Amino acid sequence: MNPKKFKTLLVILTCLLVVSSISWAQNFDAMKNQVKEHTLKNGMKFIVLERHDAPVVSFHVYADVGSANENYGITGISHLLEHMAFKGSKVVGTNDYEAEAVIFDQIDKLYANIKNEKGKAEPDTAKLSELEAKFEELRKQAKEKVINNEYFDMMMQQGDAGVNAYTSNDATQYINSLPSNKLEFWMSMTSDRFMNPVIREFYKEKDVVMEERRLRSETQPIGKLFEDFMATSFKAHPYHHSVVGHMSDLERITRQDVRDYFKKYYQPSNLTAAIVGDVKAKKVFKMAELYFGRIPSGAKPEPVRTIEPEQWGERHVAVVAKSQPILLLGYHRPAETHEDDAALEALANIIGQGRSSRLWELLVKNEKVAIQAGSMNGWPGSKFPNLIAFYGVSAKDHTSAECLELIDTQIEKIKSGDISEEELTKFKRSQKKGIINGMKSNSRMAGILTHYDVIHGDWRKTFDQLKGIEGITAEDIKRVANKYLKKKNRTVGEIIPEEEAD
Amino acid sequence: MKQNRFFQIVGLMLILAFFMSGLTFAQKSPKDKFDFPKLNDIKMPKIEEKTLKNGMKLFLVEDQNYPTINMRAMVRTGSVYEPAEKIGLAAITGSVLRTGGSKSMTGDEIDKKLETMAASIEGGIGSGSGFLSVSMLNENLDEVLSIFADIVMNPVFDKEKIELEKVQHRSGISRRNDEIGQITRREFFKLIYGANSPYARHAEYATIDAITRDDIIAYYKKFLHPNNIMMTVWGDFKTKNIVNKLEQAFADWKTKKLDIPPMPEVNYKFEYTVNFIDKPDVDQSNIMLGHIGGLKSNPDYAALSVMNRILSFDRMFKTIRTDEGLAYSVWGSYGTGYKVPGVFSAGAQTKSQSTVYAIELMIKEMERMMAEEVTDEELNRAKDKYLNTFVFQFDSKAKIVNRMMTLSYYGYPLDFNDKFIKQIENVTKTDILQVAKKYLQPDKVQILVVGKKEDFDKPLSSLGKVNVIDITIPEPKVEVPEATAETLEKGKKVFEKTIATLGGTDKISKIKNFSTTMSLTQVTPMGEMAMDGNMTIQHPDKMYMKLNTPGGEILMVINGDKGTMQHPGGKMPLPAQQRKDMMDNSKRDPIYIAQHLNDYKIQFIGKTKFGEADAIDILLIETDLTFHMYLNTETMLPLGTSHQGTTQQGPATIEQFDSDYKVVDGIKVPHKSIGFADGKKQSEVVIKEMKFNVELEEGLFKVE
Repeated sequence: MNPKKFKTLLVILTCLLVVSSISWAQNFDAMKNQVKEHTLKNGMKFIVLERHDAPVVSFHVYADVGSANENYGITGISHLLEHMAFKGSKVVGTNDYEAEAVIFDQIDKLYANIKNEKGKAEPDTAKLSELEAKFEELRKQAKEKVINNEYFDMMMQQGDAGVNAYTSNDATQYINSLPSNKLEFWMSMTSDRFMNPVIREFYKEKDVVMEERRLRSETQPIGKLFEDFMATSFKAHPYHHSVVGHMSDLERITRQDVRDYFKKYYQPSNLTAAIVGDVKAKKVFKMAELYFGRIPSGAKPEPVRTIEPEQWGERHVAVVAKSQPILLLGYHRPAETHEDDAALEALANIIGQGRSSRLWELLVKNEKVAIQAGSMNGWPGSKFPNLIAFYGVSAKDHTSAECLELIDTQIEKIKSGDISEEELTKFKRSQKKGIINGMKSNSRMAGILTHYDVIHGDWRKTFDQLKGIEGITAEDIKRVANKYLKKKNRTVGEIIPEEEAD
Repeated sequence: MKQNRFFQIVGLMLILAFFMSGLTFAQKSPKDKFDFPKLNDIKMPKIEEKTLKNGMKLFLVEDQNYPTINMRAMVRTGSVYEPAEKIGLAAITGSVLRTGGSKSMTGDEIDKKLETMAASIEGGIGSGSGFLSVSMLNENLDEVLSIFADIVMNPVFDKEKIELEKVQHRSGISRRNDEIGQITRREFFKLIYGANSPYARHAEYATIDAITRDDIIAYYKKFLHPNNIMMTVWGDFKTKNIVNKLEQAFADWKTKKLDIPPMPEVNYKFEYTVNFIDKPDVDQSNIMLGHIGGLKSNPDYAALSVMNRILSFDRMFKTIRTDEGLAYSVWGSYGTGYKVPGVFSAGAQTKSQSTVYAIELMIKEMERMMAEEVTDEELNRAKDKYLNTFVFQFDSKAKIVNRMMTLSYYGYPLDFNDKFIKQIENVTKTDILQVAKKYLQPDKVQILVVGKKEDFDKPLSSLGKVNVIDITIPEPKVEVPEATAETLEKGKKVFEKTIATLGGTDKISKIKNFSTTMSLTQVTPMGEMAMDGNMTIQHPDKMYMKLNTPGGEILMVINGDKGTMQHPGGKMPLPAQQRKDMMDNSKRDPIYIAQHLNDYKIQFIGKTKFGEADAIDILLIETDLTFHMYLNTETMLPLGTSHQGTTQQGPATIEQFDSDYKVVDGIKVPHKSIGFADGKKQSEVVIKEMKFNVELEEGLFKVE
């Protein structure tokens, strides 16, 4: 091809690219204009995006509370509360709430007595077994009043195709998807759920959560590393502890603790709902007034007070476990709302995401010192200052020290500004595709809208994501790399195989 | 007066307010009756059907909401068409088509190029069809389309990528008995369809080894033709435009006459069987029981579906899991396929102590289904779940267009699902009772239990005659040169010389048992681990071994077909595979061979090198055991053995080097043995002391 022709082609291609970006931006704007919001007097906010392609609708209720809101003694309570939210209300999940309530009080007193007796220097075993027998008897009585799984059954019978919930360090989210004519049913079920929650099957569910902790954190080498890594990286901020919480706290959390926590953090002013699908915003707001407007308003909980102080030097943490060596490097970075966020995302992407990323190519494909290598960003949460992290899982007969050395060379390269145009394009395209795919499904879109509204203070920012990414340059990446990827600012964690530890 | 008027107004307002609240709506409690408004109509997108000049059939739907384009192709092929001796051929062809690169680009280059565009192309071949899926941003359509066309039209099936794929299949085979759920499903399907049926059989080392690059190319050439492909295309494009682009991209791909037989038939014979697989290292049993199911085209499909829901959720789940608290998971389901009958199965994972009880309960629930009508509540709940979630089949254009292709691929009417949901609405309690009676056969189920039989509540034999299934993984076949009378004669003679050198038949035949004190070094993924221990063996099938490991003492005892292992963490039966490995080891011991010379076929192979030493290679065969032994050409003492075995990484050539011969009671015994797998050192044993015919401690070989 002669140079002139090539140039023409290039111009055409560039034009095409610009054209497609513009038309897409218009679609974004169009979608943005369709979003409506309404805040009830009690402070609960409803965001609605009408989409009439199919007669279905998805719901996200975002409670602005996660494990970062927990204090010592009640770690894990946000997650436990999410489990309890499926146990029903005064109406759902029970055949006799009044009778149940009496038993709860008795059973809690008994439990306190058992704890008390067990805590004594010389527990009275006869008394203890008597108390335990009574406890079991009461549990049996309580069980008779329970209608097992009724929340799920009722939701599924009405066609819920996506009933679920998540708890993270930052938030607790409740999700449903229903045929769109079931709007009022959802309003009734969900307002009831957050107005009259009943903490039933409490001790059984605590066992389930403790089992979950054993499974996720205690029997998995990587779970152990993550837990100790966070405890080292965050000496003050509550990202310090994991979502699932400490075992001793889980054992000791009481029903009253959960009720108090609910009262504090599930105030309507702390809840945001997004509804995406075949509904009319006006009708949604009217029903929301009727159903959720009943919930009395309360004080908005105080935000997390503690701020992680500046780090004074590189920190180290090691976990001995039955595993191959694993290396983890985490650098402090600001919250998701910070202006450096998009450049940090690019940094994490170029260094460690995908099979043609730098770490994968160098550590796994070329040097073969690792079987896996990559990066994580916005970890463990992103509402507060958090971490950008890199990892390497050593291949047989290789060590974490080798991984560390190679990862460091890549970090230094980026700091010197060695970033190719191809890498930038790859980053931008993959982000763009990710953002677009996220918006396709009603349920994911509802999740994104609540996230932006709560974390960024405005759901409209949902539609600004692309702008932030399109503008990123190699210079931005170099700058944030030099600003954050400093040894003084990092924690080095590793798993040491049991055989190598003394 | 004024006051009066005030009250009048207030009163009026109150009345008005009362009426207004009545006119709008009052809140409903979740258990109140709701008047659900009529659901808005499902908007069917405009789907265009086109056929390219070369015969490729397309289903297209425009969706300008997002700037992405996706394609999904179905190819009429499947592992049912691969030869029985080359199982794995279809799967390997499907993945190497993508990873092996094209004439213009290597697979790795394609990876990189696609990632740069945030695009992806994936492919695979399953039992009754093959698929290719493509996703991209619309701005990359031309480039991605040309790579896609290049991959399907000009694949090179790179040798290295084929080998990589084979390694993964082999390691899959080596690990297929690790997980109890996987064993249960796999073996249950073999019971229903037949172990050699194309619908249940699976790859072995030998079938993977037998696959050549030529086979892969031939397989590709048989099936990958445009007129054998259907493809959906959805996203941001103009139909006419993209059809032209596809026409161009695949212009060089020509129609070919297809020669694809129909899917193999399933001939099922109903019978009652009880089957068991021993898995001594678990405390939970996995149970599956059932018989053949049916086709989706069956007019009773809707009634069967409702019955399924009730049987699974309202009956099995509630009685076995919730009421009896027996199982972590339990289900029952009348399975259906588009072209091949599915399987009716009920299954549970339950603690070993309630194995037989759970089976009895499951069968009882099947019988109850056939004996009485379901309740109105059960019927409505089950129907509601179908009716109310049905709309989610239409919540994206992608789902709609792909379902259309699937129905079309299997020759079903395109309104199949709409008719199905209408039938669901009309299902009655009588219908359910009738289909239960017609299709369930609780007295002719095949029962499979995988678990630890010692802990069962009742012996399985209380259910009927038990057929024990052996799931030992067959080792790859060894290439054996054809034996002749001459080579067999020569082999025997050579080994007789070895016997003489070792100490002679007389002395050897007097050995009843032996006992050693030794040190053992084991190479583990974490490094070398040294242990001391002692071992007593009484041929042919009794062994006692004690090892002092860094983690504590390990005791292993084998006595006939029983074995146990005790370690600081507890005691457990020795897995069958490990017992067999140990017994096979004994059978490779020259002393054992000398004592059982008539059981072996010994074939002279020739002169060779074993390690550094000059050696005579003889091949020994005893029933299913085949191995080479290498004899020192000068002294005739055994230098070691080699055979094809398995390690945790898959099949490997396993070699044992024996050296440091010392005389014990007039018999020469090697005092050092080093084990290798595929040339990598695995273990080393150094004997410190060895005694023949020791007095055995009472109960030494006792296995409880």
